[in-house]
Amino acid sequence: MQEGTFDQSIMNRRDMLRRAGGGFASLGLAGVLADQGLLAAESPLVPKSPHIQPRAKRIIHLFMNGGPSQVDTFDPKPALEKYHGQRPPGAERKTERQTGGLFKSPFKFKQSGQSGIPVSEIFPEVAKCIDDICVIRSMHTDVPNHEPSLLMMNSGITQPIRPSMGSWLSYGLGTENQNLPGFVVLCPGKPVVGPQLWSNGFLPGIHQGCHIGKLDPKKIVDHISNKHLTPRTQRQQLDLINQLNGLHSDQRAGDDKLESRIQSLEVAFRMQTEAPEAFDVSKETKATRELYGKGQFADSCLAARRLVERGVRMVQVYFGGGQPWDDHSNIENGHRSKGQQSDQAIAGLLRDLKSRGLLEDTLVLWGGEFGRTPVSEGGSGRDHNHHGFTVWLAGGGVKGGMTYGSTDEFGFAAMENKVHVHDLHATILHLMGLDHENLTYRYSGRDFRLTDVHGHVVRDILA
Amino acid sequence: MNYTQIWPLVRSRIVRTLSIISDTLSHPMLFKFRLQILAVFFVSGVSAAEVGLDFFEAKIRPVLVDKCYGCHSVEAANRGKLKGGLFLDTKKGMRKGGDTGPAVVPGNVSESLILKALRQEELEMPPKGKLSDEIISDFSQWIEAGAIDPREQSESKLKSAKIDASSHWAFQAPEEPKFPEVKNSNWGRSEIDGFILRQLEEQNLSPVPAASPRVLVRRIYFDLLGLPPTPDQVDEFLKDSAKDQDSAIGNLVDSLLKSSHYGERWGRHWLDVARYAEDQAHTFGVKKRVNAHQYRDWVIKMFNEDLPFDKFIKFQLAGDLIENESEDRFRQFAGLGFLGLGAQYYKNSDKAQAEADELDDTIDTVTRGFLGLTVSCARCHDHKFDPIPTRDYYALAGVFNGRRYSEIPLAGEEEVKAYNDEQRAIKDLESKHRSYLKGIGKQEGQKKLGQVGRYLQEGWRLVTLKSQGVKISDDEFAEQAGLHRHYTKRFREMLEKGRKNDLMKRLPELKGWHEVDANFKEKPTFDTLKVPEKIVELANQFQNLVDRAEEAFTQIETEKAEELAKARNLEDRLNKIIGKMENDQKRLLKNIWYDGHAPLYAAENDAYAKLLNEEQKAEADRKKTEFESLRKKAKPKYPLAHGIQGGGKAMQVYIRGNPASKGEWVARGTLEILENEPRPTDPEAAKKHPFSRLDLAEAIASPQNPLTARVIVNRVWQWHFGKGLVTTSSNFGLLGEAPTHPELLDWLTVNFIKNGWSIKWLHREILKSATYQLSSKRSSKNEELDGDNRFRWRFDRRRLEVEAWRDALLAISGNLDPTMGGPTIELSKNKTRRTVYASISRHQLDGMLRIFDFPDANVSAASRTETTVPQQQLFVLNSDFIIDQAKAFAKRVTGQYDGVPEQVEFAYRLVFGRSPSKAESQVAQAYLSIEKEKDDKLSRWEQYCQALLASNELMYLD
Repeated sequence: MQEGTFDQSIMNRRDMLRRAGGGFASLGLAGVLADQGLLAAESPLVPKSPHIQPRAKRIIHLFMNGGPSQVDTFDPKPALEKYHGQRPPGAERKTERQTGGLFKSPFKFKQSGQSGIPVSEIFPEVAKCIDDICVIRSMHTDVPNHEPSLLMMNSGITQPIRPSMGSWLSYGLGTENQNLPGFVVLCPGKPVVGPQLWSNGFLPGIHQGCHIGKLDPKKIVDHISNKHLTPRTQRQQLDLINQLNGLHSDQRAGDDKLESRIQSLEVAFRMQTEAPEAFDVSKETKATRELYGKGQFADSCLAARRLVERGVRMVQVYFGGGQPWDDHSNIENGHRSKGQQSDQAIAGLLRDLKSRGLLEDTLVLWGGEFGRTPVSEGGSGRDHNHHGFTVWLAGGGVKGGMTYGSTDEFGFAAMENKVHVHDLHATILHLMGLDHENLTYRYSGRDFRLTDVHGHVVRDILA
Repeated sequence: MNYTQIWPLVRSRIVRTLSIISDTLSHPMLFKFRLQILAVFFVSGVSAAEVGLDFFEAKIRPVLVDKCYGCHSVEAANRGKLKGGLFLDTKKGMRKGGDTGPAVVPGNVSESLILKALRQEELEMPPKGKLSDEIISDFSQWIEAGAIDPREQSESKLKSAKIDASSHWAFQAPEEPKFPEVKNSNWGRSEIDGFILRQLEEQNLSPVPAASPRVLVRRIYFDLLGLPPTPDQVDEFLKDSAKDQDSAIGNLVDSLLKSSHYGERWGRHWLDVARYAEDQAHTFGVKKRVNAHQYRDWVIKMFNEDLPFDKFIKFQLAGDLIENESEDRFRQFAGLGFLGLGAQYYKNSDKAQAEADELDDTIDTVTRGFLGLTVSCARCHDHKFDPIPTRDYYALAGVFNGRRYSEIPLAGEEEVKAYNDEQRAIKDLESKHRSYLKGIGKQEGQKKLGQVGRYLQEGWRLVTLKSQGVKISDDEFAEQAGLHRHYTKRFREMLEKGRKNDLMKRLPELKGWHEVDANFKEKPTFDTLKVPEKIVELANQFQNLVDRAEEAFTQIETEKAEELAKARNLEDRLNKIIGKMENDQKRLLKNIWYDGHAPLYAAENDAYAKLLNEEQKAEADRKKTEFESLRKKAKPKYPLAHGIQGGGKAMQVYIRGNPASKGEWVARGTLEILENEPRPTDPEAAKKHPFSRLDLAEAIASPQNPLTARVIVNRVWQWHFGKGLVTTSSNFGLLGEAPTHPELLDWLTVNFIKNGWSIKWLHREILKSATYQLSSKRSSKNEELDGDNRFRWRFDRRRLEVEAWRDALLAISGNLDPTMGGPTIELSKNKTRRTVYASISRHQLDGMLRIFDFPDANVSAASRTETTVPQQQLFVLNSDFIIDQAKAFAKRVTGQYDGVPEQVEFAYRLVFGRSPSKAESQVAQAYLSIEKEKDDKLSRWEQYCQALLASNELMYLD
């Protein structure tokens, strides 16, 4: 649209409002304006230009909260077999609880895909997608406790409450669909720590993650449905509000604030129908639903795809409420069952994104807040381990079929090409087109960053 | 390698052919060898130093330039990119090192941090990736050989980092300026206007006309009370104003400043700065501070009383240290909530760090809140822009260091003691009652010790019957078997298969119990089921063991009779005996009789319900009634306020903010720029240097402090106008904005102090000004020159804060409950109280407050952000709250008048304080005349009233 046309449209619109009189014709113009990107003249969520050429436009974070074990999933350690039961020198590293001797993985690993990357038997379907996956085996973080590590993974600092990565992305990039929140968090119930994990912190409130506890399309956003009026009457009522506001604005010409609230009301009206639709996985074909499998996690993965497809910037899918991957005891049963509950859904998501051509600019991140010890806790479980753990990335500008970095012989601590959570954040922002050193917000007298004063982009994994 | 091979190499170095050197000397062994034979060459006129120099030039300098200077050089410092305070571009810089210690210690590889960094042992440098082993080895050899380094001076010159504090406006004492001369002497009603007008004239701007009295009355009500005027209040003002506008405004302002709703509005402004919240940021073991409201109520009350602002500061920082002014403990202590409601962090993982973060919260809130300085920036390094060195941060931190969060009684000592005594008496009675029941439980259990074998056998039968699907309840079984129902149930529970592991751990004597197979051709019954021999045998053996343990028990009872006579009660007596038994028998008795999980145990309620005889029951009831009725009659607990106690432990600087890395000792004190005398620097003197919280409060609240009064004057201006004379109202430092009207700010500040730091004096000065009374109309001529209205040629139209907007909805609908103070309310549940009484959470703020831009309570807020987003409009369109108000509003309007025109007129007067225009009346008539649709749950009137409440005119104040 050319310069000048915008003002004219606004004027036309106001004229139209004024002339509408008692007619109550449905106003389509606001919608047109919105779709042309004119609506959000002042909205903090309007899409913004990235700092650099983005490789990914959106991100899905599959958060395995509780901390999956690296040596039982993507970082096999044959030495555990050999020295099972022995206490190695490195075991005195501080973790949360008392641990015993080395504990071999109860699971078999299989070389998978063209790349031959070994994947644990608990992820047979994910293994088939391994050529699209970049496994980072040399992650590390600061503290072996859930709360600080969850905060670190989400907001780059071990203390509450700073903006989460999703809020930073929403702030830095805006969002592509003004009728949906820019950052959505799907988690049945609440994870440990709770809302701080998707907090906007000091960023404007609109950047907060929109937490969906239950995939009920009617309850996904506060006040999304009107329980009192039929859509037809509500449209009439909104036209009435528009008329009153139009008469008010006439005497206060050129006040952008008034104008943008009028537009915002129109958007809210449309959100009432669009937002529930976006979350409604029952609208998918049988084939697609079968691809993901059954269960809450599968439905969340599918909803995540529907959301990113509609322009949501970041969707975080928690494995479950509480801290489900926290297998301090009986890791064999625990990890096996969580593998079963998520394997098909994760693979389904990757395949679905790929077949729709979305994987190339959608980044998928899988991982927990830390890993687990190669030594046992109580004979059958593993303790928290922040010295070394695994996450993986797929799609959106990362190399598939590769592993990056490594842990020591037993999988206790990251050794080669270590990647701190700050580095992971820097890399994700980079892939999304943001320079982590330039994505700043001035608050309480200084510029804040997601990566504070740390972080290096892991360039070796960029496609 | 031999002498003849090395000689040409050394020769070539002498003529400084560096390119060759760098190739040929790349092998470390070669270099080592060369060092060994240096003495040999000395005769040829080449010194060791020169050889070292060459090596530096060839091997070390290029790496430093290429890999390190980017972040560790004077040039980097000048770009503001210096990292870790470390300069690697001079010899001195390398030897001195950065924040963590010397980078290079000549001859000592293990103490040279640069090597640790290169080897990626502690620090990991360079950040982009480890350098080759060869290079690292070069550095190691260079250091071993004495780290010869010719670089006396950097190639760039360091720009002065020192800031000349005397030149920055905010550090100058304010002086009363001369009254300005203006051209248009007809405009203006107060001193303020002179300053405003002079700058408008300088900028070729002219003020827009004054707002109409109708607009003004609304503006003033919302501004001072956060509530709309009622139709009658509007009428009254219009009548007075027609006679004499100035006096009408003066009278109105006076009367509103006397209203207690004033404190609810203006106290809330301060609570933004004080980051008022009622809970912790962390979620593990989070405790809501149930008395937080005392601080909120204190702030409201002090605003209502117009407590001089300097005192307001002192009460909040050191109320506990001020000499007792009055008997009013609320007045003296409740203000300490400013400190006592600060952040508390999770201390499980890193306690020192969490405590440092808590101190930071205090320092940040105190310094930005009162002084408009971002002192927190100096936590890790000297402030980059303001004259605030890191030691200032720790001087302040020391004032608070070691403080304890505590709850301070707001009642006198006697009342507290009386309450505590009474409660203790009640608790004693209660615990006696409970001990009595527990004792009976123990005693009854003891009586059954002789029947353990029988209970075991019958327990086996009961478990087996149930596992075979026989429908028999524990009580039925007990009755048929002639056993006590309580113990029957507990033995059955103990013996169940699922609890095998517990049983074997506690009573290994029963090993084999669960291995006894019982196969049935037919379903067994109570009568047919026989106990297998093996079980009988185990049960009998076990009974023997129990009998022996009981004998031992009785023996102790006899032998220690004297000592046991001192026992407080039955329970205590039994505890003592058990405690003296030998291990195995003790374990046995504990697990079969004594402990909470044992089958012969009875908890208090079980003992009462199942074991007491009628007489005992009556006795128990009597005791219970006694303490319960006392509890009912007891005095309610005296009020408590959250505050702090103590503090004042001098600190060492935390290098780069790291509590594990401590530097110099810093004497407690305020900022150097505010201090007349230097603080002692000697460590011992620094530790002892006295400086209390009260000293700090007095330094801040001093009329000589150039910042404090200016900062609050500017805040008050901001709260009236939407933006301050200094727009960065919590940052008066070099990175903050300069005042748009420095003379006006100084004039107000000087006179604010002269008028006893009275906030209400400020309100009167501001509200009587023509500047405040300007209309919010546009002026295209002015807009071209000053579109942002920096020079105040009009009054800025503003969106109401969420509190004022929500309270207005309640006032209009007639639902507003004007009750003041007390514990907080949940907005989702209480739909009538004023918003200031809402519960404020750090980790999960109420949804409505959040979407309407309520500030994050984790940090002090200088101003509110304003966003316009659809989630707000969904609230306006669909929330229960708005529907409730719309219904009540419609009822109020239609109940009062009959005809539609009169009703619409009344509705307009309630919502907007004016009559509807002709067009507006027509719109109303048209809408209200459409028939209601069958499926709609709101009448047309209710729909219409919701539309009025949803309007821009209510949300945006002219």
